[in-house]
Amino acid sequence: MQSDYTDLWESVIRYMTEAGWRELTGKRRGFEQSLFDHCLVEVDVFLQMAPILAEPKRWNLNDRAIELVTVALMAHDVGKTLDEWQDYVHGRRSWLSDVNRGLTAETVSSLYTALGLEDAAPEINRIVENCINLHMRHERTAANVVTAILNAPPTSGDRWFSLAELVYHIDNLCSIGGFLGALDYLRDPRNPFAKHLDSAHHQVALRGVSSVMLHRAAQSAFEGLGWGPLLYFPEATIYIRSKSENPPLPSQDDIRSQLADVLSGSFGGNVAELVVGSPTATMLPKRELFDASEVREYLAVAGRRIGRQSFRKKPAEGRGAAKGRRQVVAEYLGVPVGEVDANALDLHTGRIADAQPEMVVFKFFKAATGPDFIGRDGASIAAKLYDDWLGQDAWTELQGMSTLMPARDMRHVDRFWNLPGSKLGAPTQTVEEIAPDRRLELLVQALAATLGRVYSELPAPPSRAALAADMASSFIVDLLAPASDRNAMELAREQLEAYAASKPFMGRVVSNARYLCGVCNAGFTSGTEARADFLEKPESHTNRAVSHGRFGKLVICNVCKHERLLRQLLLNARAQEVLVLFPRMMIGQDAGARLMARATDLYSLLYVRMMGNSDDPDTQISLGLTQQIAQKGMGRHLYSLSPAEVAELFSYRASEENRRKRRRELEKLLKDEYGEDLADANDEWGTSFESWEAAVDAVVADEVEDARDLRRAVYGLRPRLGLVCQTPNLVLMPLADPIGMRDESDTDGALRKVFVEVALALALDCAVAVVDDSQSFSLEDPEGVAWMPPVGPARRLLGDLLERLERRSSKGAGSRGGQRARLATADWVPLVHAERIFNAIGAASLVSRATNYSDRTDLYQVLSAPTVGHVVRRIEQASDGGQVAPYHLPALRKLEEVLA
Amino acid sequence: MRSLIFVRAPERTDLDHFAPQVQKVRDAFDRYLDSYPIKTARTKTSLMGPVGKVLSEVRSGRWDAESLTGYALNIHLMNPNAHGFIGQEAREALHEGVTALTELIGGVPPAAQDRLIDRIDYGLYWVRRRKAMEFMEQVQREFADFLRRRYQNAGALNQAWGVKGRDQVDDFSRAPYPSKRGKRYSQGNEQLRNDVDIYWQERGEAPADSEDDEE
Repeated sequence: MQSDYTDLWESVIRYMTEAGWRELTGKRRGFEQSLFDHCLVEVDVFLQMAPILAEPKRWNLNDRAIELVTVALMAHDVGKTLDEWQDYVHGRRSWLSDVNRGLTAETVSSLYTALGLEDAAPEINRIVENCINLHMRHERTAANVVTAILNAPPTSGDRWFSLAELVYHIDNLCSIGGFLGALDYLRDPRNPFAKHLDSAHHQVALRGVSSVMLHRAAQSAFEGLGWGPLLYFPEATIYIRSKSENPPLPSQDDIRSQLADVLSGSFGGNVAELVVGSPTATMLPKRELFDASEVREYLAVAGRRIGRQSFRKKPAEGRGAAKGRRQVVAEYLGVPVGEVDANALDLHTGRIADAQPEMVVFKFFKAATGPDFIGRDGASIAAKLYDDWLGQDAWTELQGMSTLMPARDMRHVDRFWNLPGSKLGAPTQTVEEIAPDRRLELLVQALAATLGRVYSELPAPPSRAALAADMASSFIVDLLAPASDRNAMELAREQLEAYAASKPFMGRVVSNARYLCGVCNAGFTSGTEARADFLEKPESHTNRAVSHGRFGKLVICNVCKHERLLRQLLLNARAQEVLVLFPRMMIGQDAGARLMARATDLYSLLYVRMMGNSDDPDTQISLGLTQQIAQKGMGRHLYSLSPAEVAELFSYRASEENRRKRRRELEKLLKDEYGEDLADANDEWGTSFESWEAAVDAVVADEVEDARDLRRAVYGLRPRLGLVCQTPNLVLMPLADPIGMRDESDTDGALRKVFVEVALALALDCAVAVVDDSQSFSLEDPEGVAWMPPVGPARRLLGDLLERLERRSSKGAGSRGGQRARLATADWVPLVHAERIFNAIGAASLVSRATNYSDRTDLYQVLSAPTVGHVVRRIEQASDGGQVAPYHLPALRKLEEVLA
Repeated sequence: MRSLIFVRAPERTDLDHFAPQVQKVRDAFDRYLDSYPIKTARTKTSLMGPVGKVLSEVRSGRWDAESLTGYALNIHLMNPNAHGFIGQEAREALHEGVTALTELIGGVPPAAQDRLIDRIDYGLYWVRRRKAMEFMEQVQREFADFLRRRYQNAGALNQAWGVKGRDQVDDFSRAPYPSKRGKRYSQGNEQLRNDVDIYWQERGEAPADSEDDEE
């Protein structure tokens, strides 16, 4: 948008917000938009087109004309603000035109002033009225057109009709439910746009986080060639530019190259936690992320994978198949169990326990130098260096280390501990005598140096730089347009063949196999076995076993693997669920930028809390604490919440008891760390605290940089959600923790998700869905604002509530059976009932504890009660005094809106 | 081959379909209960008065509207607080409710009757309980205003009542409900009891917190 119109744009948003248009339905025809969304997208589209249309050889629009059309577009559907029209759009009454001449005249007379524009002359207002009154085809009757001609100021000639045409066509363009239809409309030579504008689009098959990156890459490629985005849809973007001969289009290669840049820019951060696996499973689960320059961090992380207390806590004697410490020590010493006396047991328990972090470091070193990772030549170099350092056959012995086997591993650690201290620059006789922490540090240092030497001799040391290009090559298959022409028949034949050929290999990992991806159904020959790290319960992810026989292992294609890897890279953990924010069908460029800005603001505010970047780490965030959110959110006007207020809704402060507990824990850890010596702590921190209490206060307030790790550990400060926000097509927030309480039923979990979705959807003016990590992002076009998770009982319950709300809205007038039946089986919570559904779920959470229903299903139980009286009786029966507390009254009143 | 036997399972009755009639019954009974002497009882039985009995008896199908209304009237008049009187409007509302109820039950499949009566019963119970709670909220607010006029600030009130610790009133909006049955009243000092008594005298009605015993 040209900066000249920024004020007008802001005024339009303010006017519509104050008029309550965000709460009114504007479109409900296969998709749903509020009146605010619908009018805003039209204003937005016009302001994007305005610079082109203002060219003298085009429409030659001047500033006054641009203002006039903007005002007319904003108010073109003012007739939809009438209750009667709202009843019509919700199927509660018969058809009613959205043009109401009386209302138009009344509204237009004050619009210019309300928008802060120079007072409109009566002639201008008459043109605006004509634009509004003729914006519908059915209103363009001969009589209405003649009336408009008579109403038009004589000085305007026929110019007023050109402007009315613009309003008419922009309204038509923005009323089409789908990008292909909109594109056809722009290109139709019968419409005015085709003469003045070139249009193009990109389309993406939605996969997940990678789709966001692909949208960004495609948009950058188009923008690089002079195209400007006009309309964003979840799966596509339409671009325009001034009409020219042979407008250039980006190729797939251009977009792939952009995608690689976007991806490499989004990596970064600390990936060591992802690279280093578990000592009891795979030490190097994501070798693609490995970068030779980061080996020291990896080894340090490996050293933290097991604590020094782990072995000490084991019982001395074994139980069943589980070995006790005595057995391990006996194995280590190579003597019968009976010969391990109490002294030997204590001595070697301590030694083995202290050595365990070092064992894991050795294991990681083994994985990082394996021939399958760096090739035979690289492994030979490593073998030589290793033997030179720890003695002959040390390398062979290292190869024998598998999962954690303390007795066997200890013998290998002994090689290291028996080295003279001087070899590591320590003043001790042997390495064993060095303090455990320092010894671990020296081991990491030594092995990192060895790895550095090994990698330096490799022609292509492991690097993450290649990953972005690999991923870009994988993800580009999701770009459907612009794309090389593919024959649909040929594609179908290939897919059929892949299906047939893959059948013998399903559920098995074998060479020369052909597979069908268990996630995206694409055929492939080279893929990856899906581990729990990538997919929730991979062994039961697909139900193909019915047709393909037993499923041992699930193999997924590299594109799906890269998608999951990308999610983990962005969150530094596996995303359990993803919050998907997308336009209500379509959104313009400036409204899209507004959505992105609000989502980013919200994320920044939540980030400060979840990472404890404030003086109060006891204030945390949670999307699953429905009761606390409801306490703050019910009674608030959700539509008018700012990002700061939404962040406040999702924040909570730990209870007094927990605050005290954490503080005590922090104090204990600090004292342990510095041996109760405050002077030591002051020396290291460069501070002068006079008491431990003052020191703890400062650490809690995040004033001691060197104690941040401890503070983070005690307060559980970590990213609980991420933000993937590149274009307005899709804004994603991957969640590290699922929305829902532990041990809760899927039904209650689904209700909590809908609760969060509604709050976000109404506050940010978008549609919201929470999808599981393994669910498809390709949801149907949003016929509402909040997606109901596919949990049968939850959908049935919400359907019943919606049906009841609709019945009450209709106040018993007319026949609306079809409308109610549609709501009862809807996938989306419609805008018109969204706030009531939010209040109902919130109210249920506020009284659920008092009802004493099972924690697993209490929300469902309350909301499925036949009447509020049943809930009241339940509370009375569960309470000591046999009465409902007065503070439950507001929540019960809210429940009354949805229960019978 | 044996002939196929087709069985058409009866569709489950959608109770929401009867929502307007249910509402009509509830409204009539609610109007009647507005003039029933007990409004804030602890138990459901007390709060619902004769209507609870009506809803219980109508399940039997043995009563017509007239006789069931007579049965309910008798229960009403037996209540000592009613002093053997029922107003014309209340009588009409009771009769209207019973008539609408018997008509409604007659038009509902037997399998759905219990659920429907349950819905009327608990729906009405919520309405009555809500009114009771709203009434008590209103009284509590009025009592707070009454105390504010008498004492101007919370400190003066606490001193006059001789209350400390958890019993203290921090803010007039948190003034207690002026119950004459609670510990606060029975163990309170003379000034506290005086204030409660004067409030109820000024209000011109008996405190609404002792009705269960009088059923």
